[in-house]
Amino acid sequence: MSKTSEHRKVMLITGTSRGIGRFLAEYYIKQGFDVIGCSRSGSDIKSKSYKHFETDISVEKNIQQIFSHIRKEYKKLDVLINNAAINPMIVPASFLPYDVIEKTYKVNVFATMLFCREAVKIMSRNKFGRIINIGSIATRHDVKGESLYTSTKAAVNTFTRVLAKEVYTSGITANVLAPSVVKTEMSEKIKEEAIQQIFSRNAIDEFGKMEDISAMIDFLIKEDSSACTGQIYYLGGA
Amino acid sequence: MDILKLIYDSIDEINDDQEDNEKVEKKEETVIFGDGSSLDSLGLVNLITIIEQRIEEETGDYITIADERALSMESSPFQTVKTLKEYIEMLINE
Repeated sequence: MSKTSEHRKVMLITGTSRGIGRFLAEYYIKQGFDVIGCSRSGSDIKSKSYKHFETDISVEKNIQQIFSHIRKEYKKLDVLINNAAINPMIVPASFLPYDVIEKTYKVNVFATMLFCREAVKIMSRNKFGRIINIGSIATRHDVKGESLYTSTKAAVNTFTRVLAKEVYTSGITANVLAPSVVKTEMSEKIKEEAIQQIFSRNAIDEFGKMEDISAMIDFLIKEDSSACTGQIYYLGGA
Repeated sequence: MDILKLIYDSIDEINDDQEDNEKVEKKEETVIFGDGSSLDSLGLVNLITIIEQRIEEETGDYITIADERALSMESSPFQTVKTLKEYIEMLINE
C-alpha cells in the first residue's frame, strides 16, 4: 500500500540536515509535499510527511536504497532537488590533494548524476518530473581558490543541459538553480574578501535569502513550467 | 520467474504510448534497438526501466540491466527480446 495518495506530490532533496536543503525540506513539507531527505548525519525534522536517510551518497548502493524505498512506498517521484555538495578546501589549484578532488567530485558530481539517473527512471514511467540541480554563481565568477568546487558545479551545469534534452519527451524538465551567496555553514568558510568580490560583480550586492531559492523552485516545478528546461538560473543578478 | 512474460508485460506498458504503426511486437526475434526497432533510445531506456522495476516488484531485489558490462559487450544484449531475456536470466542467476 502506497504511503501517499496520488494527489500528494513527492519530492526528494539531498543534503537536508542543514542550510539550503533543510530550509527547502521544511518549506515543502509546509506546502503539502511528501519529502524524502538525506544527509551524512541524522535529522531532527519531525513530520509525518518527512522521511530521512542518514547515508553517504558517495556510495552508489546507498543511493539505490533510497530509490528502492521511493518505488515501494510512494510509487512515484515528482521533484528531485540535488542540493548536497561539499566544498572541503579553498586553496590554489596547485595545492589540491588527489583524495580531496576525488571526494568532492563523488559527492558534487557523481552523486548528482546517479540521483538524476534513478529519478528519471521513476519519473519517465509517470510521464512527469522536475529535476533541479543546485549550482553556484561561482561558475559565473571564477573566484580564485575555488577551482575544485567551481569545476564540479560547471560539470553539473553541462550535465543538466544535456540531460534536459534527453528526457524532455518523457515530461521531465531539468534545470540548474544557482543561488547567490546565502548564509550557511558552507558560505561561512569563504573569506569575506572573496564574498565582497562576488557581490561587486552581482546586480544585488548583498547576501541572498532562502526564500529567493524557494520562489524560483516554486516556479520551476509547476506543471505549467514544462517549457523551462535545460537552463541555468542565476540568482542575485550574477 | 518467467522473464519472457515479464518482458512482454513491459512491452504492453510501452505500447500504451506508441503510435499504432510503432507498436513493439511481442516476439523473441523483435529488434528492440537499432535498425528495425520501433523504439528510439529513450524508448529503450523506458523499456529497460520498466523491466527493472517489475523484477524488483516480483523479487524484492533491484538489478541494473544497463550495467557497465552490458554496455561494453561486443554483442549487445539489447538487440532483440531474446538476447535481452538471456542477459536478464544470466544476471538473475549470478
